[in-house]
Amino acid sequence: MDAAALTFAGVSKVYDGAGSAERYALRDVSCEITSGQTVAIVGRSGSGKSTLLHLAAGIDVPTHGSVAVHGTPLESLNETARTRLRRRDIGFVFQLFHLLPHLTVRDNVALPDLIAGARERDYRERVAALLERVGLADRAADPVAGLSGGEMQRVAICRALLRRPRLLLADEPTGSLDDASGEVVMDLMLKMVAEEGATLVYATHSRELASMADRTLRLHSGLLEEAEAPG
Amino acid sequence: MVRYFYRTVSAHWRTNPVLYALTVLGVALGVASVISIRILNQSAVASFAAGVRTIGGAADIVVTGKGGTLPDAAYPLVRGTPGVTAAWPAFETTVAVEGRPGTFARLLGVDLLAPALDLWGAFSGFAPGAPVAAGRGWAAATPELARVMGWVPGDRFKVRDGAGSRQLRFGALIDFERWGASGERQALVMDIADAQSLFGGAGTLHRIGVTAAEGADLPALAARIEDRLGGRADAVTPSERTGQARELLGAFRLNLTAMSLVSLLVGTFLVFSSMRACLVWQRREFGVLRSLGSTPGQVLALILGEAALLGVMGVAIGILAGYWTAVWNLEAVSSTLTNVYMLREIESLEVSRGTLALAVFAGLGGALSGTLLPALDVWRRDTRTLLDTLPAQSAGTAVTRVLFRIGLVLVVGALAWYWLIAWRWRLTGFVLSTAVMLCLPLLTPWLVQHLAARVRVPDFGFRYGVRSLGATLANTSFSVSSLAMAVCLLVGITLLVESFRETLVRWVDRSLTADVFVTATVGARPGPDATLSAQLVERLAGRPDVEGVGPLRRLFLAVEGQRVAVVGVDLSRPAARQRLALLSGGDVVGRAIRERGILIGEPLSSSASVTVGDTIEIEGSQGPVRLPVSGIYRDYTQGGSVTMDLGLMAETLGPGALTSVALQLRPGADPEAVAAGIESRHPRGSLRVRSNRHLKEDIFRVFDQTFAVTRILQVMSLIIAACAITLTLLVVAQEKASEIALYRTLGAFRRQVFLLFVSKGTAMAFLGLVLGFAGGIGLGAILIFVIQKSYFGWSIEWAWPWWPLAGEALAIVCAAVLASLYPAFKASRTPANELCHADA
Repeated sequence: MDAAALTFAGVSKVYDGAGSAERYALRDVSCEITSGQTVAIVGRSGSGKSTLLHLAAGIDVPTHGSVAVHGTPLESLNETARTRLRRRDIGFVFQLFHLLPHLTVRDNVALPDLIAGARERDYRERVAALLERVGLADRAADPVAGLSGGEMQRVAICRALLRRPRLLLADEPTGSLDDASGEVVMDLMLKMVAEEGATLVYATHSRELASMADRTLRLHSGLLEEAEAPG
Repeated sequence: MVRYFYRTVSAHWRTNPVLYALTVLGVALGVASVISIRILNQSAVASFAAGVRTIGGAADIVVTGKGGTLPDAAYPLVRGTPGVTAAWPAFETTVAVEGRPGTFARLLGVDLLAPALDLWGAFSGFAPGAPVAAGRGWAAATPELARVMGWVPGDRFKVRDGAGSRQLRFGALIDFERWGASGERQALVMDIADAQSLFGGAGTLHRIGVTAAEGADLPALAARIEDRLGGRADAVTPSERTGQARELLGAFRLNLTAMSLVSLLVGTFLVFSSMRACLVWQRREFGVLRSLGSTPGQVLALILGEAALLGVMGVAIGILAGYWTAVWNLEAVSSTLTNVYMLREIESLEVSRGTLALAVFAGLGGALSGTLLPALDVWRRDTRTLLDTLPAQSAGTAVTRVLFRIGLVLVVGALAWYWLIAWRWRLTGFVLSTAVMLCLPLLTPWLVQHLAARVRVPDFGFRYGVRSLGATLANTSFSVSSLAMAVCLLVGITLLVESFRETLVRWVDRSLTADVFVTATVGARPGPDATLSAQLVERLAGRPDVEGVGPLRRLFLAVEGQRVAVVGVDLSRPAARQRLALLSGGDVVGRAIRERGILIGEPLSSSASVTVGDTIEIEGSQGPVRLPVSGIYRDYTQGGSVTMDLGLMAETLGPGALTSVALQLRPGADPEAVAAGIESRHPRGSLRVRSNRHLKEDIFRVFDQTFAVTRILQVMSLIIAACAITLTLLVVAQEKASEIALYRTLGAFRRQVFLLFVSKGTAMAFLGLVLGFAGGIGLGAILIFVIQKSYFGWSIEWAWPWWPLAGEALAIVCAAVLASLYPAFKASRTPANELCHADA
């Protein structure tokens, strides 16, 4: 049996609302995502998709329940240990790319290794290989400001995969792209995740993009349910 | 909108107190530095004016002798000048009051019963049964002096001048305020004949006060009086006399004012940064207001209203801080006036309405002008941009390039203008200094941008911090500019002070070669009235431990219309020759003796445009004499000096007693012991006896005191610059919250973010240091080779004070690191999920 990459057990996330009212972003969510799977989380805006990904990345903590990444319960870790886990095992792709304009394409991709204190000679080839893989090798020394939206997201994917994370989280990765570019980027991301042997969990509005995943989970008002198998 | 303003202002303060406190501090420091200097400047001039009023009273014109005194015979000539309705002569000296060390009084001898003086209303508290001015030694004292000494009418007391001790009797109080002149606080007034006889000035007058006929043309009358006295006297109105003091102090005041304006400029930068920080923080609020229907004008009014409020608070604190800074520096400035400019000490600080108006203008003006650019930036933006989470930051390369070119043109143009046209103009130095200071903020953005872009980032440390400065160029540039300007000021003044000190050390080592120096004093102060008796000089020369005596006679006379020290020494003595650091080689002193010529100091040569071979006119008590200039020597006294042979001095300017002697001791004699021995055998306060070491120490104490006030301005500028770094990093932490969150999401620890911000602060400090040092070297050169030369005529040799500069650099980096700690802490607390709010 494949090991669980990500486990949610009775997870709720409650935010303080106006006055004394509480607002549930997630309600008693339980699920298990197997290593190597690609999972799409679908749901309307405000359904809790981003919250679920934040909890999975350890950048937020659940109000109730437990989240485990590759068997490690995140609530047992302090802030520093969660950061270390994120640095080692988790990659993140954002809807708005969040590339740093003062860095070149190459430096943006290398940022996680810079942060991790790796030496340049240790990541130089890996960065070059990833950029080669997404077709941006000739743009490595360019500033990111000149890239198209699709190219920026490809750089962001390279950055997320640089440290060979076992779990890749993507929050609306094609949300800022047109349909054609979105499809190209999604296709590329799925291929690269498969090549790296990572687990991918991504949030999306799009049925088409969701259909590209092995498994689809639907969030509705903070409640998670298994969606029907595509096709 | 007004109601909204009141509600939000207090809410802003509660939410971000550090930011607002720093803004108020910036305004306050800028205001404090400007008004503290103005208070000291005005008080110095007012103190001198008080002295003029004391003797001048309600006089329309005051007549003084060009040689320092007037003969009694001048009085009837002045009185008989057409247009003069009344005149009153005055005898004046300074005395030390015995019984309380360190208490001095100006003693005035006037005709107490002269109707023109109308002193009656100013007297009070007569001794019971004592008629006014009854008997020898009767003196009226100012209430302040009587209070300090605890006198009651009828008390007898002793005063001391250069000639010895005299007993006087306190007969009444005299209040100059009631006389219509706010005069000196510590003064004695007695009958003129009595004063002349007691203090050895029979037949001598120091001034004659004149009341002009109603409607008289005062300048024409003054000219007529000067003509009647054969051109041997100056006739000036009291306001002209005060104006002369103002002019004498001009360079000193201009230096201080210029430095305080730099502080204000740096303070305005701080206000700019802080108001920008406030606006970054409130930007979305303005976006919401605009989306709810507020006009851009209403938003602009809100911003400027808040800036004005912060400005008012800064002004209030700045006035108090400025006053206390002035109080703190009073002694240093006062000593400078006395020691360097031979003026009275400052007795009280004056805070005029003009000073308060300046504080309001500087503070509010600084706050509003500092806010205007960021406010206009918000004003011109559309609602959508204001609501954006990630604002556009970087200035375009084109803009930074244009600014850089303007900066280069400014500094190169100013230098070309100086070399080609304006090198003779006195104010040129200040124009050049301004150009250097202004070019720094213009060059900074381009330099920061290019440096940041060229830095490779092998790790997430210091170099990454430098690289990321380019991403927040607008904020970073202002912070680096503020620091660069402060460092420029700091380095420039350090170079000036330390070069000057080094030059002075060499000059003093060369000039002061005797072992012990004995100077006549009035109380503890040397002065024109203090002389050494011939018997004393003989006794000193006859001491077994004394090998040789170098005589010196000093007079203060009008030379080419300027009042300077005229020094007579025995030029045939090798030691006397050695004390002069001559600018030209050859046997200059021998030529002076042969040609019956004089030697003049560099400042006098410069201000009177006199060189070797020319002649100059000296106004002696026996009339003007014209003597050839045989040589020019280095001289670091205010206004310069003239040195001549003692024999020539007696022959041309009249005989007189020595004012000091330099003793060359026999080998093995201890100068300290000899000095102490001589001093102990003479009444306290009548002589100042100092060993070579002590005299040098005194010279450098005065030197350090003179420049002490500049340190305050330097420290203020540095505090302002450190605040600018804190503010900039707070703005960056605010503006770049998403970027920080990205680092956190990608696995950066809090301590890494903390260190990244400290790195940014340190990088800004280094950039500010490099730019500031470059500018500071330029400023130092201008101060040394242009300003000091044109204003004081001093040749200062350039020196590199490595240790002081290294210490300052270290202090700046430490200040920058400290300044970045709080913002770094704030940034490190940015949650990783902050980034995802932008995506929501």
